[in-house]
Amino acid sequence: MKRFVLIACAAVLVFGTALGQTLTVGTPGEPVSLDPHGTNDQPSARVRVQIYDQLVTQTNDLELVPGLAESWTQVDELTWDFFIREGVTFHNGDPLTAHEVKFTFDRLRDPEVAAAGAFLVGAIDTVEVIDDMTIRITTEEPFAPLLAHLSHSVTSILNERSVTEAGEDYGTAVAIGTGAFEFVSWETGSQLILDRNDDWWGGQAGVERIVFRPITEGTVRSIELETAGVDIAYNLEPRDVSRLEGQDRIVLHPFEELSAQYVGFNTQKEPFDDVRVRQAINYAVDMETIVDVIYEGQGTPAAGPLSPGVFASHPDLEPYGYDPERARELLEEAGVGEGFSTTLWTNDNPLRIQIAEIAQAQLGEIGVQVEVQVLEWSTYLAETAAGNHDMFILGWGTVTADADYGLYALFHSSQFGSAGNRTFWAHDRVDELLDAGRRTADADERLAIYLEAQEIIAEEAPWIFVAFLVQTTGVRDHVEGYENHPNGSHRLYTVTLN
Amino acid sequence: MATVDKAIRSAPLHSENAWQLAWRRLRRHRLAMVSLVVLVLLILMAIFAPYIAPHDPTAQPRGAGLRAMYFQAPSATHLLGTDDLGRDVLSRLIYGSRVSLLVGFLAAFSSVMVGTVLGALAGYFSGRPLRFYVGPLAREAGAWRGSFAVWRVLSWGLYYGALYMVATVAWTLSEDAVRIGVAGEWTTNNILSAVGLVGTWLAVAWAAWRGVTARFRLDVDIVISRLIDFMLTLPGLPILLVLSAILRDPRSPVGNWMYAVFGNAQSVVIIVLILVIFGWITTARLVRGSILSLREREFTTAAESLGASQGSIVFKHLVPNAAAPIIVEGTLQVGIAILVEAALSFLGFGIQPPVSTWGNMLTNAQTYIFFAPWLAFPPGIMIVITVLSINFLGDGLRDALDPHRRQT
Amino acid sequence: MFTYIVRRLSQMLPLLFFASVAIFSLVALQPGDPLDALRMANPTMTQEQFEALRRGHGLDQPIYVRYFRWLGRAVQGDMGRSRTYGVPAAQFIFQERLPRTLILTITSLTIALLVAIPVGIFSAVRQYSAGDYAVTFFSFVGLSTPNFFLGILLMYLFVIYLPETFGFRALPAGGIPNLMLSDLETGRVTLGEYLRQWATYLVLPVFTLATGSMASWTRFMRASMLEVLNQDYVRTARSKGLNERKVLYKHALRNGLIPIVTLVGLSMPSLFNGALITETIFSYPGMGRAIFDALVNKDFNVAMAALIFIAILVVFFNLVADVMYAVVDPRIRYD
Repeated sequence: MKRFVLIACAAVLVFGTALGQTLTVGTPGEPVSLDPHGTNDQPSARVRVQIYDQLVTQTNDLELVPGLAESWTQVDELTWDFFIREGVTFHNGDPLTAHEVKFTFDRLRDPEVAAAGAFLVGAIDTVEVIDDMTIRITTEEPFAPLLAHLSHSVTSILNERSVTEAGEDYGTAVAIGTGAFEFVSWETGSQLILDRNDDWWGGQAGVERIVFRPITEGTVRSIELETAGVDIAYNLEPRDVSRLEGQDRIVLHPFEELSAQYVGFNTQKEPFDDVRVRQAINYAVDMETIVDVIYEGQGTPAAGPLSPGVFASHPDLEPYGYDPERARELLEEAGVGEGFSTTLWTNDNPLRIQIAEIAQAQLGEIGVQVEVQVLEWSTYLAETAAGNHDMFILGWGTVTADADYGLYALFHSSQFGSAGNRTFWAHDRVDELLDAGRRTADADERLAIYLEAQEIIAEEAPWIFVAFLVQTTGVRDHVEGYENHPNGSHRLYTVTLN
Repeated sequence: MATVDKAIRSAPLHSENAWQLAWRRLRRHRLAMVSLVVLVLLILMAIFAPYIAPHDPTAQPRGAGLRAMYFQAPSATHLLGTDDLGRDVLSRLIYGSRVSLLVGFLAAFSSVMVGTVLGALAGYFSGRPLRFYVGPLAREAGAWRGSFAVWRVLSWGLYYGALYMVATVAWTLSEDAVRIGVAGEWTTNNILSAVGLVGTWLAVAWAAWRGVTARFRLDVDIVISRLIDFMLTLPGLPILLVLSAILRDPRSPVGNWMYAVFGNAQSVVIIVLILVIFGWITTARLVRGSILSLREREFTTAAESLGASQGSIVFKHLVPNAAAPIIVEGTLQVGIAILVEAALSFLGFGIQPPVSTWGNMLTNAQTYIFFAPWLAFPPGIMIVITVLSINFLGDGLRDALDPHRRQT
Repeated sequence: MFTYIVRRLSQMLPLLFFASVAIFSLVALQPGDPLDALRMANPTMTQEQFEALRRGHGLDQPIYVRYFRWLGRAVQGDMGRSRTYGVPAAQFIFQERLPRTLILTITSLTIALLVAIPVGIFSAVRQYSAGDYAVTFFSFVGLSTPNFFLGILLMYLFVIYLPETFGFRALPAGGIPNLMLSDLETGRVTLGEYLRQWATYLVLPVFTLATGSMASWTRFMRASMLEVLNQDYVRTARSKGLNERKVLYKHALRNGLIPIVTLVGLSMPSLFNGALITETIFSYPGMGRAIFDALVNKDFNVAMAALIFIAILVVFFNLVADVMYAVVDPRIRYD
């Protein structure tokens, strides 16, 4: 009996302290792989940023500050030297050297590895080890957004020994980084556990353990937050936000997403090859309604392709606005005044289906008969990449918060199809501007270049510009020090529990 | 022949009385009668939907300040409220009954038809193998008579086609290994592949030679029973979902064809089709069992000795005598089909929006259960009422049609 | 009997072969390409790189080549890796998903049986009483209520309506607790807490899942008891003046349970199948969702591992049910 009481007391003690130090995070998606060279998806990135560090760190204010590289110098237009931070060790005890950095970039760019994020370092020509603590990166052409790309979680620095030893298991059973938390275990569909790395170069994280729980259903996630099943819930759905507002134990952290939602036209197909038709449709769809009804007001109608948080986003563009009269006139001018039939594709995302149905009803008003087709995701991607569509709905996240990432793949004529330009829109001046933006190092010059590009894009309307959304993270009130990162991969080392 | 049929029809002669008796007994089954009335009302509602529905089921409100018009709670204008796109729930419910009932009845009818035919063939020909294949040079009496002649030629095509397939598949599978082997690199794997290839080809050659003069008989019962066993090993719901995805894909050849032939009715046809794929099995088993015992009865022997054709014996004499359980089964199948359609639509693999069905209305309701709980009840309750009525009616029919059962 | 079992076992192999062919082709024929997600994640991938990747995964081969390659590895026990999760498919199915599904399905099976058998007996013994009518009526309602509607109703009642009315939320809306067996071993949670947490997450899905089988088994139990009670030997036993309890439990029940035994035997595979709809409503990460997601994402290895496993179980339990039937009912002989 005595022994039992002792054990019980011990259990209570352990139980009390351990659970008090565990931060549980409800995420909408299951990570795919913790290998940064596996996939390039947000659920994985959200875990990877806790485990790994990059050469450059992008702060929550989107500033680029030293990460694993203590400092860097630009030797010439094409050459950069990065000086590695001293005394950094991996979770397995290995010290960080320039060799590990070289290994990381070589593996990332290896066609055999076929890393999904390899395009982020596509501009890099060579990676050389100068000495143990210095690495030299050269690009083929001047590439202004290089630092932003080196802060992306895909370029996280890996440990050669653990990657080689783990083989196929790397990213699922093994993941070794230099970050604030180390990987412990992962049970798919249930939970992924990280423990604090007490030797982290950046200090010590506020909680001992993080548990990520994938909870797909938005409403279920919000209820878990209410019932304290999770301490933090990512991506609260707009309607859940309205419900949780004003609950005293829950603090909401909204932030403007870096992504844009859009309806793309196939600009090589009639009648969308006519700019007047594209403009007419922009006038005919009431974005205020869509933002209001579908996103419960959690966003703003988009005026252009870049969300306000992105570098060089145009501050003065005006949304088209809802003007069915103007739309009819434009269709008349384009010679399709009597209307036409077309199809609008979407994948089976409920919010996108709703957008499609509202657009369908509103375009019916100006005589455009829209058939909505819901396609299965991979078919959807393949078919829109092949250009078999009339109109389609997608989103694009500008994860590096740089205009180049948000425009080049979507509007440059070299990027047709799966590369990103699914509207097959080509404009010589925009091509020139986007190329120039990549070469120009001077921030003011780049700004001017991208502003002009955005003006042309808004005018030419290869998209219906739908909305920039506000994303909300819900946090229980005993969680302190939580801050959003605009790209959605929130870093949790600052969090403490009360 | 006509006289023979007429003479034999006297076997189930008492059936006129039996049906009347059944109807009398059914009328005394109170729950079944109430259910029948409910079902008739539902069917009338589906047929006259455009006259009953207060609003257009797909109409969305327009103009500024729309927010108030979405998710309206039930009111005088919208008796059951409005949904996520401001559409009238009552109207969608009424129109939804069209798809649900149509799919339910069509699928049940087709399943029972297919099941009856296959079950009857299996039962009647059980233990009596049918001529299946008679080679080009095989001698057999009557092998060129009637419709069998056509089948005979077809079966050559099937037989040799299958052999050709086996030979090519064997080649494609072993090609790489054998080529490397021939080039001089004989590893164990390459040798095994080569042996496998040569063995298969020898077997194919032997089968081709034998096929010229061979005669095969096949027990239909064994084929159908194995088919049923096989179908039962497949996990139903996942397979239905995959089939639905394949058939619905407008860019696959099958999907394209479905779309070309059936146009907008394509999604209903697809649902019915995949419901039948698993729906025929219970009927087939049931009918097979009845026919097995019925074929030993005197009237069958009488018909056979009078020279009635096998087709007419099966479908004019045996099947009508097994009608009672088939009717009951058919009724229950309607309920099952409605439930499965709703489940598929609920999972997003059924009828696609903006067409409303009770199933896809429930999917929506689940998404918005927090903001608009009134969306969930109407479609769910309609499904329960419909299926409940069908089950009560089926139960009543079972009692009424089975003379051995006591009245309730 | 022995020869019968051997014959049945020998029929299993071709059956499983055809089942695996059918399942593989259906999964392979689905629209879209398994690698599209990769292509989407990497905007700069060219068509040539994509084709190279497909060749690397063997996806450029005809379906039957891919099938036989899969079969060749599968018979050696190598089920391949999950394309979605990167873990070995067998580990994913058998270690992660299966135990969780079994917790759900076995609990609801047990509850369904515990309710259905006594209620069915009661209903049969008191045939045509008010209680019997009530049982019959409710079992019909249970049979006619789709579990997705029942699940939504329960969710509304226990997760929305009651908490909002009484301001107290006792049940989560879905998922599973973030506890592991190792937490129990290391003492991070007490056993009581562990069980309590699981119970709160399980109660709604278990109830949703149990209702359907409860209703149909009640009806079966009632029907089979009625049949037994009308048999001559039961009448004889009664007329001999035997105590009614003894008649019921000694003579009638044993025979009345035979069909239920068969039925339960045949429903064993569905325990492993998981419960797609219930799992979907309550976000429960079990086999049902695993199979569904694998099919949708064209995660061949996982889908095949799970589906073939279930096919084997179906065939096996069919055999078990038949054999059990012969064991409990001495009139049946297989030769």
